Amino acid sequence: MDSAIAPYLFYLFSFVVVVSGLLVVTLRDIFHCALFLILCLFSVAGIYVLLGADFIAAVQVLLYVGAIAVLMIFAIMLTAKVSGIGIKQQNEQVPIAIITTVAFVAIALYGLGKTIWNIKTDVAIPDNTTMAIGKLLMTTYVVPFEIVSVVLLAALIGAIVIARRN
Amino acid sequence: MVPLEYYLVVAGIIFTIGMIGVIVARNIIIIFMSIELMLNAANLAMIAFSRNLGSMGGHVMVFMIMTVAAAEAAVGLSIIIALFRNRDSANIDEVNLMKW
Amino acid sequence: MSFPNVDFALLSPSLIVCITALLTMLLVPFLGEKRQVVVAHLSWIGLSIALFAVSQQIGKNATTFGGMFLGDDFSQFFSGIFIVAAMLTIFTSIDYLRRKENEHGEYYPLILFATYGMMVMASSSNLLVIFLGLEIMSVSLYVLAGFARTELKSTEAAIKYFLLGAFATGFTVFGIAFVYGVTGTFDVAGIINAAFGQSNVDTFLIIGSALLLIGFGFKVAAVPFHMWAPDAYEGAPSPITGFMSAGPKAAAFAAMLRIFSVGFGSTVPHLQTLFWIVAVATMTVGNIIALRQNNIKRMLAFSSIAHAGYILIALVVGTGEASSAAALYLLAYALTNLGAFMVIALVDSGAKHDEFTSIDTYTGLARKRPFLGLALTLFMLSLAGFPPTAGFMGKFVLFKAAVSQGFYVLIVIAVLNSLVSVFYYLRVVVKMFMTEPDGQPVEVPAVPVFLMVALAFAVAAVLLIGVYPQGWFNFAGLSILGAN
Repeated sequence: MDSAIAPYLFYLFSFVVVVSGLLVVTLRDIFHCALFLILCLFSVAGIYVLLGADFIAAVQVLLYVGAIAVLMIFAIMLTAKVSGIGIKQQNEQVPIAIITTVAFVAIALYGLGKTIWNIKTDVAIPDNTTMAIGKLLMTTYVVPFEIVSVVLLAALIGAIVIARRN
Repeated sequence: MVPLEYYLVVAGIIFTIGMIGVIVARNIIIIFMSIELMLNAANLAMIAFSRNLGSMGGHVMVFMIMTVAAAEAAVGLSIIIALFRNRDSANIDEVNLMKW
Repeated sequence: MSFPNVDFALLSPSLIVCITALLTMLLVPFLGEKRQVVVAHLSWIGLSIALFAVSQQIGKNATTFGGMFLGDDFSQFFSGIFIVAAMLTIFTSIDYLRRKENEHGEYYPLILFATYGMMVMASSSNLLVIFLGLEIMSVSLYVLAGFARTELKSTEAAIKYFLLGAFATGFTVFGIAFVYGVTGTFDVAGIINAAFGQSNVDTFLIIGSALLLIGFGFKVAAVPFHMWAPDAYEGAPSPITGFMSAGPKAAAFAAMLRIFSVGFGSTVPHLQTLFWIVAVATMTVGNIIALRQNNIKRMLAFSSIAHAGYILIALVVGTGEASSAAALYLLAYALTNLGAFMVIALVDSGAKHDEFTSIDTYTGLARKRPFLGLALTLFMLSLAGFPPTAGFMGKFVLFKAAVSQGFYVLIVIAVLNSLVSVFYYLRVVVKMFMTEPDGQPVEVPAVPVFLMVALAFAVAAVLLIGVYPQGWFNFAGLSILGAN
């Protein structure tokens, strides 16, 4: 998407992503955290659209917003006793977090300034990414495509085994 | 066209927020949400790189990562539920039978 | 774009493991509660067929699916380790699960899935495939760690293992994103080409590699990413603890050797220094904290951290010789630790809960049950690195490879660390040969026949590698050279 409003949309989505991301880790009511996580994931899908990744954006909405977030709300409901308002959600490791963050951000900024990107602007990604991804999944990436099904199967069995009652 | 660096900065910020969340959060489900934020940051960076390189490999990788994230979510939340059944708490501080 | 050529013979070992997992999984609901043990027997039979298939593929050094799946000797060697580890774990588990009254057949397919994931990890040089193998292994192991789901400790182990594992996944994926962003490919060979092609190596390639190192550092429990290991090891069912210390560690190191050592590690500056620091910190912290432990599973968790530190030496050195030494070390360590955990699981299964994991439980064991006592003594000596055991041979070839490249300081630190480790390993041995204290004696169950076979195999293998390492070393050496 290369129109005139694209940069503004990018700023809007980025702002929502960052603010809602911050709210996820700072809010006290875990249910609100989950709702802001959904907003955050939804805005990430918006950025995917700006990047021309329409298929990935759709999968993001279906899988993250539709499945994972709902799964989390289920878990929150099932462990409802602790989701009350006003419980402090942070532990005593805030200093560690600050140190890690400062170090990480410093390294990342340093890297950002020094890196020369391997930019090949002459090759554009196709307009219809769905078809391109489908072709890749059936040719070059057929091995990962088969293997990822085993991930799902193992997770399926595992989740049943561990969550069932005796 | 928004340059690549901007996307990377956003990805970096989300990743950092997620990392902070994992370290400071008390509730296991919030830790898990923070991990999802980290994965999203990685996905965002991957898609931005993918457009920059004009290669679809990144899209396939993101698709796989999302699938794996769903699988992990299923297993993780079922473990949380099993833990909750055993001890009626989803706070990591109280998961302290062994030294943390 | 065309469908790649498929060499099914090359895929056969991992396919057999995967198919066995699927079939046994389908069988579980059709067997009654009393006959779940059938699943265990089918599983080890499937694994032994897979082991045979591995032996048929040695020396082929072929690739299939357009280079996505490698069948070189490196991957066959590691596949062999994983299959043997899974078989020994199954033999240990049969009686353990029965005594703990937790006999659910899904346990065995999950072990097979984890094994499959490890084999995938060792059989590809594509970051995407390695990542998926890692996830299959991890997801299965999270569940296995919490398999005793009515035990508080077991679910705690599972949640800690899971949270830290998922945290590590975040780093791994972000690292892969950067490496991909700089080089445009997931294939290690392609990454090397792209990195060499540029006049200066990008900072983001360094950051990407460092993030990958953090991700894998969590998996091998390298300091400072080791926090999960003691809790996960202590809380998980004992046979699974043995499996976790043998299989996933070897798999993560196989992937690390493939990515960093024979891969693009040498093209990235500063990485060697980073490995040096992590290796020294890992072995020192692991050994020192292990000295204070009173729970044998927790002690072996710290010991496993320390061993990860020794193996990281191979990544510092980065030569083919060091990589093959690391492969031999991992084989020796896997067999030794699995053997030790057979004895631990047997003693542990004497009680329904986990009262019998303290080192004091082992007081007088060697007097009451000489065979068990001698076997555990052998394994402890092997872990400490005494000749003529496998552990000694592993350390010897690894340190030799490092010395030949001039890493004297590193090896001095490693040898000092080995000396420290002797204290806590021998503490167990001394306890076992002491007279039994007054008070209630610990009832150690009789050794069931399958465990006996497995224990005898582990003892023989540890001695065989220690006495006659040449054949194994040739094979391990060959296996790495094939990967180059």
